[in-house]
Amino acid sequence: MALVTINGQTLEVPDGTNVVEAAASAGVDIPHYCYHPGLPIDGNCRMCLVEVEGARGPQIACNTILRTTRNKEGEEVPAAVVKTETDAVRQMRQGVMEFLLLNHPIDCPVCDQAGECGLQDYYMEHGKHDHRSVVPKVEKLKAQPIGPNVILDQERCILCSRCVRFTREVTRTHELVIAGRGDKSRIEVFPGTQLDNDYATNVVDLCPVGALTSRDFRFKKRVWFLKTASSICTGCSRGCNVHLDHDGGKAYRYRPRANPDVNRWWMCDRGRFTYKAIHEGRQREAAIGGQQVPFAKATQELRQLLGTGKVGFVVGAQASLEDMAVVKWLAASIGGRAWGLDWTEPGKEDDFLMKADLTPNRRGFSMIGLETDETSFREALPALSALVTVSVTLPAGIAHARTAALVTHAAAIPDGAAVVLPVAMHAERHAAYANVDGIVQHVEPAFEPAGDALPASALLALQAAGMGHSLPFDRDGVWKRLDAELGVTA
Amino acid sequence: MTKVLTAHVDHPDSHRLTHYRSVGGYEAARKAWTSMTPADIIAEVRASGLRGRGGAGFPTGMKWGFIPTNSPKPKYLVINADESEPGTFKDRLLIERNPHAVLEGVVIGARAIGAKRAYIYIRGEFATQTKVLEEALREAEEAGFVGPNLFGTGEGVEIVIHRGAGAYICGEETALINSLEGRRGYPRLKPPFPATNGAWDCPTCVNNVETIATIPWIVNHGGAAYSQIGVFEAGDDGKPPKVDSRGTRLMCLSGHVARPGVYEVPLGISFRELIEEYGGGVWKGRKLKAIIPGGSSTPVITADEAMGAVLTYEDCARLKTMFGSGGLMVIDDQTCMVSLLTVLLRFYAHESCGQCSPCREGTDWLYQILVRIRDGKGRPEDLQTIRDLCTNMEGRTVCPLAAAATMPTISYLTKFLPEFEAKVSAAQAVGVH
Repeated sequence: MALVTINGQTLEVPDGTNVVEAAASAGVDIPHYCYHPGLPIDGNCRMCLVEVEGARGPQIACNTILRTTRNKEGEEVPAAVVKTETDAVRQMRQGVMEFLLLNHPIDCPVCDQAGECGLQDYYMEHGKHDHRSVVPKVEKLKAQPIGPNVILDQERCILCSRCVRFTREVTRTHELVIAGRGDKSRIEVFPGTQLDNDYATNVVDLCPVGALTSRDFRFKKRVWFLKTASSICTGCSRGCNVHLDHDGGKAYRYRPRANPDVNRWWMCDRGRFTYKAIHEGRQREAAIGGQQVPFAKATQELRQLLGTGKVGFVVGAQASLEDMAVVKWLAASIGGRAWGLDWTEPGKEDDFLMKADLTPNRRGFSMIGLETDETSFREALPALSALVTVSVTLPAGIAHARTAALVTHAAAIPDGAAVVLPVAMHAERHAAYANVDGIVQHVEPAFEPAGDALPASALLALQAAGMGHSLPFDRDGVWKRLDAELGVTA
Repeated sequence: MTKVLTAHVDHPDSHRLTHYRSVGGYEAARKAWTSMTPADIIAEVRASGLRGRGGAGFPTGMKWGFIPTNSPKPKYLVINADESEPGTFKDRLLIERNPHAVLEGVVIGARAIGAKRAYIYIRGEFATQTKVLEEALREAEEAGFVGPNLFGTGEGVEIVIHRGAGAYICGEETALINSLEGRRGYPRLKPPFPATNGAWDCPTCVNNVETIATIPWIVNHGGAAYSQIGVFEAGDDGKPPKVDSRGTRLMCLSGHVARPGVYEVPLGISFRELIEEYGGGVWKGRKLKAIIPGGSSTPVITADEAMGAVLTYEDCARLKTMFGSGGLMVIDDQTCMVSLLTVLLRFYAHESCGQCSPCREGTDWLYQILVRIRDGKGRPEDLQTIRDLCTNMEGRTVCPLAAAATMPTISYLTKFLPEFEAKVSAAQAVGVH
């Protein structure tokens, strides 16, 4: 551990911590653009200049690395005595802001970054200077698509090089470069290439200004209208942590949420755009025999099926841990059997985040203790009195005449399903998923479920209650029982 | 007077191995490799008092001593031949006329720091000089003075000549290393320093051409002999020396001087002697107005200041300027200092690599303001803006390029303020806003 004194307060930080992070842990914000904990230190923006006692002139906090320091007597002393709130530091920050905004077009009214822009934020906090140049601004390329998902505006760029370092050090695909010199410097794609890799859109999140914007998101919504829910990406078994940005019951985008154990600061583009599935192709109403019916009528039909004696349940790996648990308990209550099976086609896998298993919760099957042997399911199928599917798409060749399907999407409804009930997705409820490494991750609801949908766990627990079986139907109840029965804790 | 570097450069064959051998060439290398340990060599260079001739004036022996001897990594000696500071053309002369002294210095330096490979990073525009150096290297390799087995020791050094691509910033040692590695020529953050993490993250020593070309003489004659040249005054009670400007320097005289050129002079002679005796005085019978002592990035000094000063690091420091690269530019009394500063700033705006915000934006902004003042469109507030920009640039960037633009700017504004003010008030008088 190393000691550091920041604005008179001495604290202990792990060896190798830089002053930006050390200050943050003490609640002191040191403004910065180019520094990002997931990228190599570059030190080009000069926004994080601070005063360090004994140093030759101002130092950049990002490259001031703290290590255990001892005096001659062998006593540990602060590795650095840092001041971040002096007049000199304020003046330096204002000076840097003036330079960064000198050639910036200040086209905020038509810029999609407005509202979440590092230049706007820091100008208000550290700049507030009047523009005093009468020289025309340097003109560069604007609104240039540089790949399937990203648009570049060179004029807005402050050349912090986060995007370049991302493609160099994280994806190692090297599509982005800085070309030119001095104030003619600009970000470009390497000649003959496009920014087209599986993680390309991370550069949009990394970009502190409006230089790199998402072709999917831009001009869809002013960001100050957006609310944010802590969620996870359900696009594969990695379970990357995301911010789900939404407004008016509509999801607009995922942005990666840092989690050192799962996805660090990143997510793949394949997963990033799965937010669209929250709205596209959803089953919003209940149906019987293919005809839309009132929800209560369908649940009545479901209860009837559940009372037929030898009921089989199949729950898919899109279902949450809560859904799986309630399915298991319900099957046990009514003398049925419950399988956890999922036939989702595998997708691309890489050595970074992307997993071939495109479901978020396959680990949940074993965690909850569902049967996972497909052969036993196929053998048992003909003798079942009814089949209840939960968030799963049955493969061709598996069917039962009396099937109740609890689905999020219309495409998952089996042919000839007797009764269909809409259930909520992860964005619409409290839920938890076990990722490929067995890490249990909770999501918080962003908005109300689509149409008549309910969380499958609650829907089934309510039917159980109607049949005289008491099952937990809310999050706390489910997790209390999971903890007690299986030692699975939130 | 002792000439360390230029004793033979006027001979028509001075660049050929045969001539270099005829004046004792490569005997220092033989001595260094066969009868001296690396520590001996470093001790001699320390004793010589030689300071780096690239501009910063860092003691060469001490720099060599920073290269770790216990590192398992390969070590590299890199010669900075990217001579690009306006007003500086001494390394060009050495490469053209005395290339074997450079190569011999490399061979000795490589032994001193344990480098098996050395690079000479030569300025891209030096096309002719590259050919001369390549030819010299070929001769030296054929004669066995450069290569894997030197003087029967079974050890040696390989020398690689690498051409730059025309960027001033690649004369900054870490940008040079990046460029050498095939990366963009951006200066690196320090720490870590090249001595431990240089080329390919290995211990690397970067020396200037003139510095390394001095080494053979020091090995031949001993560090003590070299330290007798120039001026030295010990400090009191173990304190650093009061004056430490030993040896000779190649001074590049240019500008409004009768006989421009490269002159090897012992340190400690007066500016007056250099300009009047060596350079033949200010041209066209005009008066001296000012000089730029060490390349365009060093602060300007007035004629009065210059005429009372001697060529030492210390006198330059006293005058709040720097000895720099030895590029001394003479400025006559008919020179418009506003125009001169504008030209200099154009260079730094063009050569800023663009890495750090203050330099990237500030150098061009400074230039644009100066253009406006020069063209009679200055505004009263411009002079304060210039000062503010200089404050916001200097010392706030990865490398000293920003300071290379701001230090002269402040010095011109301080010492020749009336010229700037006159330009601005003339503009105001005719109603420019």
